[in-house]
Amino acid sequence: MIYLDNAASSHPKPPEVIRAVERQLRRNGANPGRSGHRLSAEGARVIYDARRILADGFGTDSELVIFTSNTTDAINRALKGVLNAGDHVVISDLEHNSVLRPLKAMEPLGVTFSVAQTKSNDEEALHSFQEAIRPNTRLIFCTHASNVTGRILPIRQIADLCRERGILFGVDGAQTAGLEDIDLKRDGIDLLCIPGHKSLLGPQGTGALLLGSPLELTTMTQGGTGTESLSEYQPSLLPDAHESGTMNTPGIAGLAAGTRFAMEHRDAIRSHEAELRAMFCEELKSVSGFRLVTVGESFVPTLSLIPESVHSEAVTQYLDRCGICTRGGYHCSALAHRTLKTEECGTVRISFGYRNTEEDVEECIKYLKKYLNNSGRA
Amino acid sequence: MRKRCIAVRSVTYAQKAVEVLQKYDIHGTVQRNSVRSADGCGWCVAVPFTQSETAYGLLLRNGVKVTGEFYDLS
Repeated sequence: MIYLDNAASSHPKPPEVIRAVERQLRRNGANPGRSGHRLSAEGARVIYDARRILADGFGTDSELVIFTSNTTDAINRALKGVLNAGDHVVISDLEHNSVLRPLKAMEPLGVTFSVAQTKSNDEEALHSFQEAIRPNTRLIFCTHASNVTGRILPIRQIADLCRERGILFGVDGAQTAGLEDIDLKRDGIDLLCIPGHKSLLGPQGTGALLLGSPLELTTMTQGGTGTESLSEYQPSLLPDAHESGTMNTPGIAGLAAGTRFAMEHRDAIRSHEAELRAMFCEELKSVSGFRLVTVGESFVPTLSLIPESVHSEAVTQYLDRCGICTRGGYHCSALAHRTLKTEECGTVRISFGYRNTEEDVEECIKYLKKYLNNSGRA
Repeated sequence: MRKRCIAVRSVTYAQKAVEVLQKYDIHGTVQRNSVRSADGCGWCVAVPFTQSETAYGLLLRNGVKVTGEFYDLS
């Protein structure tokens, strides 16, 4: 089996990650940071170590790392935590539904948003963001890299724009956390939403919302936090205010191990995956019947193919039968497919991971050619 | 050894306290408060009594959110 769907979730995981999860499950099922016994304290230490690893990896402080169940959870907490009635947000035309849908849900509550066009290059994209700002713009929130096309957006320049205008800046780091060098303080990012289970190589069910500085965010859930138990009110202290209930300790242990691995090998992994992407793009030139989406200046190792005269899901189903895992359709991104004008057929998305090889690229190309031959479209 | 427990506002800050103090060669351990605190329960960092004043100052200077409550353990 060849797995080329790392943009959805990375696979396989490093053995260290599996060992960390298994060890936590086997050795310590206590609720971390609740009881006073050593197992609870030890569990809390595992959680704190993970906070520290993420804080160091992304240039912030440990108490500004809020664990979530995934990027969508983090984005919801960010948007609903920051925005109030009368606020305006600017997003890009490549956003995932995890950004679009919460904002649509907040429209009846008086939150408005505008969509900046990313166009063909970073300068035009930046200009579009600038033009979209209004007097009541509170936040610019955008993806660091599109989960459909892999295009990387100029977040440092957007952050500069936000700083000039006194606007908060939030980033969806789903496709770049663990792959690109992101430093909240250096890059001027106020809110960074990341998954544990993609390029950080951790288990599913993990993620984080990282803050560049202590921000007052409205809490989405309230409940037990292990402190101030006689108070009827949710503590306001970060990160406890946003971490009610029992934490996913085995998941977070795995996330820590994955992050350590990803950060240690980040440059090598990025280089390897970029080479595979480049190789695929080159080999694709010998395949007619698919058009590569090339809009943008720089990319993560994800790419989309637009099939001619067939739905993308038909292609990915064929590839699956040949033992190749890819994703067709619309990738939970209505905006991106509207921008690409691929609402009719979707795209075949191929996303490389650290364990993919040149042979995987060659096999995928071979079967794309076979698909076209078999269907008489070559 | 006599210890002083410096109450902090969360287990995260208790862990951070241990980390901060370690840099200054002060040994701290994370503990559950064994007395009632203002809002019921919480965490503290237990340090050697003779180093507790120094420890408290270090925690304040390094952004560890303390509650201002202390109690002693023998």
